[in-house]
Amino acid sequence: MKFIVCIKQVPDVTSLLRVENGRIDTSAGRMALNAFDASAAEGAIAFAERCGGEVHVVLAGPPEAEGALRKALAMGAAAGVRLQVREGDAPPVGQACAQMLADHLRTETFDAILCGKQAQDTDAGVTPAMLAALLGLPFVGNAIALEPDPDGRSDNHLLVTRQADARQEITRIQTPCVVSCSNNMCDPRIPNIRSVMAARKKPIRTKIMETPVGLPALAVQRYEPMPGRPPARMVDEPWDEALDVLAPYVKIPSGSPAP
Amino acid sequence: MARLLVFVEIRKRHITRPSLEALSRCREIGGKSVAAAIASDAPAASFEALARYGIEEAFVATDPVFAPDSSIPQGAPLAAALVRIAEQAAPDVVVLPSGETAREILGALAVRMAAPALPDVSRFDVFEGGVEAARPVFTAGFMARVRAEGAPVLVSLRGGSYAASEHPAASPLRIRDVPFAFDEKQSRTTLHKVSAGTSGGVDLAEAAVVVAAGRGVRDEQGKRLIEELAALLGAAVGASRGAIEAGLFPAASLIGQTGKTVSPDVYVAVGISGALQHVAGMADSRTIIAVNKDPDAPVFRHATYGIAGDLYEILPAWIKALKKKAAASK
Repeated sequence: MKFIVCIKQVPDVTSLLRVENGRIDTSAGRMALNAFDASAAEGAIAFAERCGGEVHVVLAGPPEAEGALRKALAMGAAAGVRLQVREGDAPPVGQACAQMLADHLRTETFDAILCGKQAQDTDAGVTPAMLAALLGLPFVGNAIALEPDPDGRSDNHLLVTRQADARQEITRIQTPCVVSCSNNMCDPRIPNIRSVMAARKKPIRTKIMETPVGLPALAVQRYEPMPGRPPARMVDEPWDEALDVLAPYVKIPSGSPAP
Repeated sequence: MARLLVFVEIRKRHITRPSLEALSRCREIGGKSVAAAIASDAPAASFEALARYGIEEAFVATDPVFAPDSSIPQGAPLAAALVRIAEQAAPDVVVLPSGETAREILGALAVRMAAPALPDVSRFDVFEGGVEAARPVFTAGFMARVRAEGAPVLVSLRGGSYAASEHPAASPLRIRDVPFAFDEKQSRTTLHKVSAGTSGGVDLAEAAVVVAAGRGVRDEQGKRLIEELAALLGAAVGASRGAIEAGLFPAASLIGQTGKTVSPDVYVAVGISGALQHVAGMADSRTIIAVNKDPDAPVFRHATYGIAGDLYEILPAWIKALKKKAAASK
């Protein structure tokens, strides 16, 4: 199996971020590989190690975002591509970003495209399904496991376990395909020094592309702090305030007389 | 007046609670210009409920692929049906209840309808030519005020953002049959196996009360206490990553940014420290009751009521006290 993992560099959401004048100030924090994408990369790399295959990574972003590509290479991906918009073009947002990735992926060969289920900065999660629709490929979202097809006669299928709202589904999906990955799929490995050094020698190709224009996108008008809750009321034994909230929900055990 | 179309999700022959909330919010905004979109093998079973929520028009795609025991994953047929329905209904705004179903199809709908998408909003308003909304971003660290223009604009609405409220319809439900057929033989995905979800059998997204366990629940005895309290309250059982990693609860009960987002009337967090990733999945609950040994646990910053103490002593006392209160109120 050849995997291409689409990754994104995002502000480290655990670092100190503040809202000022409706914008999020990320200057104090560092940038990181999106955690969901790290799971997708780990899922692909572990699959290739177990069953054979190779993993490539692609990212749309400025030169500073190469750090995320290097991270994925250190984890075990073989090569990376960075999609750079033409000088003077706006960075791609919304569907334009999916379109740019799709335009690039059409020039590549692969069995499966993996993506994280969402980015930690926008928390949107629409790009993977957009990619599948643009490429005309079958899609499974929110995968928590990836296995080869047990029916070993053909290697053009994958078994993908998906966490749905009320059940888990194991889907047999024909390749080439697109799968978005939950970070419940695996814990991304932490590369050791040797892998980090080796990753420096792995190839990263830069591809200059036009930003697709005229595609729908949402506009962020401003960011605000989350509306806070008032501080908790600490309640001691006999906990009446808390228990009075719960009491109306108590189910009368079957067998006892109806109220 | 803008025309609103609400995707009504049906699970095991029932309309999901987030769908009813979306219908109620749209009716509040759009009055009579709200229509429901249904994809089902047996849609008529839902008509009575739609009327009860004040809906007077429903666009219906009927196909056996939508049966509860279908062997086809629902993403592709649902997206295809909704595209056909939207062609016929020509809405200005399409609203979907947030959840894994919406997450799987929203991007495909956006591409095929050439529409902007506003995923996972917690508030939204419709204006002439577009939608304004608020959506949590950065692991629910900030709220983004967003705006999209177009026809249609796609919106997915987080559960618990608006109340589901019944409202008698002024006129009988008009059914618009939308021609739709899904060729299962052409499907490039098939369901190989399906396994049931959460412990206790109450669906997390539907439950009025959720009892959730964290790392503080260390063993089988703690698990039994959680389950006993949940059973007493008719509650769904949830868990934080810590409790799942300890092997006590199934992965399907994970609540948080990477698991489910829930917004019940009451959320009881037991032995949960309150990491950002967990809070992102429960912060919209109406009342949050937190029990934790550590009085400085971050969970108390999000709770309505905080109880600092040992869950192994507190839960048995609560179960006893609640039974007594229920008996007394009879």
